[in-house]
Amino acid sequence: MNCKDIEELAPLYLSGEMEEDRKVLFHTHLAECRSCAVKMEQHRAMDARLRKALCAGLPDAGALERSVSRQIVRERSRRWMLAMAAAALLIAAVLGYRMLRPEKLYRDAALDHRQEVVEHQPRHWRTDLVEIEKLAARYELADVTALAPEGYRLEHAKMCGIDGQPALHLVYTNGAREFSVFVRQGGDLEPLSAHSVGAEHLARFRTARHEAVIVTDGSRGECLQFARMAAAVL
Amino acid sequence: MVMPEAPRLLRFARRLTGEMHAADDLVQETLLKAWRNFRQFQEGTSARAWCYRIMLNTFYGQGRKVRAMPATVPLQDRVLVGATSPGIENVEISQALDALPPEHRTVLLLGVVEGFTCREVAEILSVPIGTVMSRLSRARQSLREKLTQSEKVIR
Repeated sequence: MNCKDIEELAPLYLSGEMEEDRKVLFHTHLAECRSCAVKMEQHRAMDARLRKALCAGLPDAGALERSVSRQIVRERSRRWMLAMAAAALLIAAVLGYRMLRPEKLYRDAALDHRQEVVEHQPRHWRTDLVEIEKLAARYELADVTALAPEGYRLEHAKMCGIDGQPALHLVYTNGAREFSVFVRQGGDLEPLSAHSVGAEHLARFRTARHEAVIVTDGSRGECLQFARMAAAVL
Repeated sequence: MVMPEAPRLLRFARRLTGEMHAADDLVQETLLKAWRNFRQFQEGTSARAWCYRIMLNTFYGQGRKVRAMPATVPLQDRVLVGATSPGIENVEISQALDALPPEHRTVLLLGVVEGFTCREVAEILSVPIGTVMSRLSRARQSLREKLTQSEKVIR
């Protein structure tokens, strides 16, 4: 180690960060070089003077600490309130969605019935029973003709989407009146309920395997009667 | 965890700002930032050094330029007529320190007065350790020269 090394490494030596093997070389040089030894002593003495002059007692930070603690308590409380508000908002959104969701289901079903069945807008209907049964098999519907009440027959069917989910749209007719039956995968049991959207009457129920929405532009009573029979078959 | 550092931070902040109220505000902001950003603290590193880093970033981040240290001498360091020699000594050192360039003064305050290692000073200032070492060497040299000049004037 030479004098230049000593000068460069002095900060590490004075801060106590120097490795032992280097320190041995450092000490060896200081023992041999009077000039470096004096400089090092001057550094030590000046550091000591600096500490003595500036480290004489620590200021009282008690009031400051109390102020920061109060601020932290306030911020914690505000964060907790915000978290609670966010949770409440989320719950309200979920509940709102669940409450509004059937409405869209009924709107979609009623619109499909109005446009495709009542107004006869052109659609690619399946009329062949074998083809319809293939579609019905996707929904584990064994006998689509059995859904028809007395005097009604299956007219045609097609795949469609209601409330963002695929469904099988079956149309039954007695020659004068037509019923739409929308069938999709079920889940939780839900009893029969009646609804209306515009001129259309609707009835909905859920079994363990199916969810069905019956739509007619006829009367509410006819709609419910059709739905009860369908529920018995499904 | 960082609250026990408040008195030391306050001492450093008074040196940094030169004003008691500004120092109080700076320490308060530093402690709150440390609490709010505690997730960013890396286990195994020095929490104390982390606090000083936050303080310096806050101070310079508030649009303050690195300036020649203003009247940074705390009141207790000021000498009165007829004061004893230790009081005079403290004022001389404070004045010599204040006359140093800010980057030299900062490394001396952190490395010598606050007792951080060169590695920790490098972390606090976000500079390489070699830079800290060379600044410390030059700062010690400059401070000694200023004190020697000051002593000559007194004699």
